[in-house]
Amino acid sequence: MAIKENSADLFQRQKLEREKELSQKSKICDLFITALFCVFIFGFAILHILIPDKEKSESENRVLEKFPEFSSESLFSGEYTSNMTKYLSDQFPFRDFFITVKASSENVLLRMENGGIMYGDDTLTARLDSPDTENLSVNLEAVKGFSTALENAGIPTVFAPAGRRVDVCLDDLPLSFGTYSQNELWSEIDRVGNELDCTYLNLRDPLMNKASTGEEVYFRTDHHWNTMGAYYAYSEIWHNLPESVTADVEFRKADSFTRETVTEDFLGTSFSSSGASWITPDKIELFRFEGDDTMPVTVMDTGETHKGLYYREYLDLRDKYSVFLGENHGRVDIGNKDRKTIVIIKDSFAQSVTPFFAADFDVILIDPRYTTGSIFRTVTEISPDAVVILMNADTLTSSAVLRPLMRGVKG
Amino acid sequence: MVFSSPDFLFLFLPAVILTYFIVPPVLRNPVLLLFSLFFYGWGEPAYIILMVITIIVDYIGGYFVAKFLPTSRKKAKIAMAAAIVINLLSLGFFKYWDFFATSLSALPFIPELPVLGLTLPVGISFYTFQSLSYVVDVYRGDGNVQKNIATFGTYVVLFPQLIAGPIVRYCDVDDQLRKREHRLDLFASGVRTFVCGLAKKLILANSAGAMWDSLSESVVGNSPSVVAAWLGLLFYTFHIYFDFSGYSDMAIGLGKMFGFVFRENFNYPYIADSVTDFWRRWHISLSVWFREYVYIPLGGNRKGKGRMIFNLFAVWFLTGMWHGAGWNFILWGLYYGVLLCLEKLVLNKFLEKIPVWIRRVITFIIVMFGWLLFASDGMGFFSTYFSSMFTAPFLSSTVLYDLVRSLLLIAVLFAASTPAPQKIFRKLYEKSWGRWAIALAAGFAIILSVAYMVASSYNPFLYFRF
Repeated sequence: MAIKENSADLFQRQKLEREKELSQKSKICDLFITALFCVFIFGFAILHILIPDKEKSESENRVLEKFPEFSSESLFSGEYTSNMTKYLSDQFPFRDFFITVKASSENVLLRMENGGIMYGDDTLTARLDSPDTENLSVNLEAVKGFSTALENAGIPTVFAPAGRRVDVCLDDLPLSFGTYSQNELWSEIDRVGNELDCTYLNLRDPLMNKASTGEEVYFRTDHHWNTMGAYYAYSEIWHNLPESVTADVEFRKADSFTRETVTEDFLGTSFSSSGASWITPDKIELFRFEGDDTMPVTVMDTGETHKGLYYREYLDLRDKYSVFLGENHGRVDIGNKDRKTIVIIKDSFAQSVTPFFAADFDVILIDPRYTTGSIFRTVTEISPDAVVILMNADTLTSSAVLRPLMRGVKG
Repeated sequence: MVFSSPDFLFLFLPAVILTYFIVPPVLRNPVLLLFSLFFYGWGEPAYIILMVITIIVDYIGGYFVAKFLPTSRKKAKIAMAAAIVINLLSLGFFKYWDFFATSLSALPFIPELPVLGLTLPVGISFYTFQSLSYVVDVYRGDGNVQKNIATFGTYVVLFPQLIAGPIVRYCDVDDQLRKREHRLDLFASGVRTFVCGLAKKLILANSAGAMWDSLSESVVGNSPSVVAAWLGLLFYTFHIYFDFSGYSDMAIGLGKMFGFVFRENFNYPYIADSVTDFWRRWHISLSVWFREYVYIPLGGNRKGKGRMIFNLFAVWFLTGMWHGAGWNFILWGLYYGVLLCLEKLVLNKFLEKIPVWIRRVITFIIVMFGWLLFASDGMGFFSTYFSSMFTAPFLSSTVLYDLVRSLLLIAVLFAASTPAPQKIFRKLYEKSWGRWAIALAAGFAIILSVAYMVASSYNPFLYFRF
């Protein structure tokens, strides 16, 4: 057998002797550590009971677990006990403090990230792993079919995929992270994009160039581009729209807008998982033009109307980015229907770009994740002057999210 | 219930400590019994019945063994054998039925056996072995029969070591069940041990485990690389050690708080300089159990070389099987069986000539490969992973980043698996200011551990399948 007859017993005996030696020396200290431990476990138990439960966590941006209801089925299935554990963890006293402690500890260990969010110099970037090429090709196929059909129907189309923070703000990434995954993904997007019948516009490169000069074009705590970045996207798209669309409209330069800072307290999506409470919050700027807060906005899904492009009520909530045209809906119509029309097939990245277009065009936003029925038919019925497909690389690599584009498209 | 969860630390533990020290001493064992049953039932309400049946069966077995022993050794032996058989049948059925069914059905001429999909009663491997040791110890005269079924029940179900050991032999705690000392310094020592285990589990094991999860996924998934494969396996090696030894530390610490002194279960296994040495340092209580109740009864090394080899293989086959109902576990056990035989018969002479540090590195690598077998969910996983370790591209998209950001963590993991921290602790403990520093460090450790517990949803326990 592996063990000599006595070695485990010998080791045990020696250990007990050593412990007896030490025990004589330390009465007060032992009392202290015993008291510390008991105060800690009893103290937090009592605090847990006394402190009322919270419904949601502002910093983590999610709903917190409630006290589980007891039933014998849930007990025997194990659901009750696992919900109880989740509940105790979610409603733990000073939870935010402990989350910050853990994030700091990860920082001290030079782990460079926490909760999937990479730490930069006062920036947070969601980590990227190997691109999901299957989802990408399914979605790009859908874009291809959709845009070809539109072009065949005589509607000029621009496909403008946008980068995420991890694609664009390369200087903020940890040195060892590199650009391999991003470049691999984007070369595939470029390859398919260049084969399309419609106009292809890579929005990663121009923003990457701006970012490399040190300009802040993306939020530091959120995955979206900031308003300046959205302006650059507007500029790129504008200059790639056909003459027929932009002929009698003037391109608006950045200084033609009045900038208004609406908040300096924005903590975005990257912040929620990171626990990095030491980070400086972002500020959100609006590029104001005349008429932007009287322009009619109609959510066609519900019939709700809103006056103005900016939903300022969101500035008091966690999700401040929704100040740009509110939340995502299947179809939102903007404007008085008296100007040229642009349809934007979008995800949330288009929300901050739309106001720039809305200054001179009627815009109709369509989000394929929230529509039913044939988007192609809807667009042909609208008969816009141009269609822009504006979404970011996360949407393009998400599972079959763009399949709805193919509804009603033949071939 | 898991020691590293909030329901244990802030509901159960305060309640049991308070109750235990308030009630009169005669009620202390019953308090532990009730709380332990609650502890077990919290995770496994249905299988409490099985636990109670095991207690009754072995209590009766012990009773009859003690009754017949003075007069008829043969009758006592039958009583003992009956208890053993019932225990092993229960363990065999609940843990291994599906494994037997699928394995046997694969052979020709054997009809398709139904797969029952039974969930494994938590801790059945641990408490069955503990309970068996009682009957055998009574037969051998190493322990006194326990007339009080409540006290016996307390032994079987004692929550500190119920679900993950150490496997406490009855003879080791027989006296302590009847009478034990509750000293302040023992409680304080228990606190230090417990907090150390908590930190090992929540901070070190969970961090290593999260890395293993994501790296192994990429290795058998769409971005394998040599670096990811080796790095991942290194993390698994640390994950299982800190998880299991952390849990054992917590069990031993809790035991001390209630006046029990259990044996150490680990002795810095990763500084072992041979496989033989490794198994003197890893899961010591299991090796002791197999030595006492299988190897020695089979004859040990006293019936000639051939018989010794057979005995070794039998023990290692069973050790592998004990760890799980799967061929990868059996192969893991036999892997060590082969290596131990080789060392015993052939290699020891050569090994003595190699410098210690080289032996340690070789042993560590051998152990790593063993863990790959252990961690493999099926032999397909094993072969994919194993071949990636040598034939995949050297790097992949983000593995360099994962490596660089893990360097300090790996250094901490290595350092924490050596006796160095313990030596520093001892030196500090000699001095008065040192003891205070340790107390403050313990306070800091518990806050940090709770932070990791609260902030992560990732908190698995590996040896839960046993």
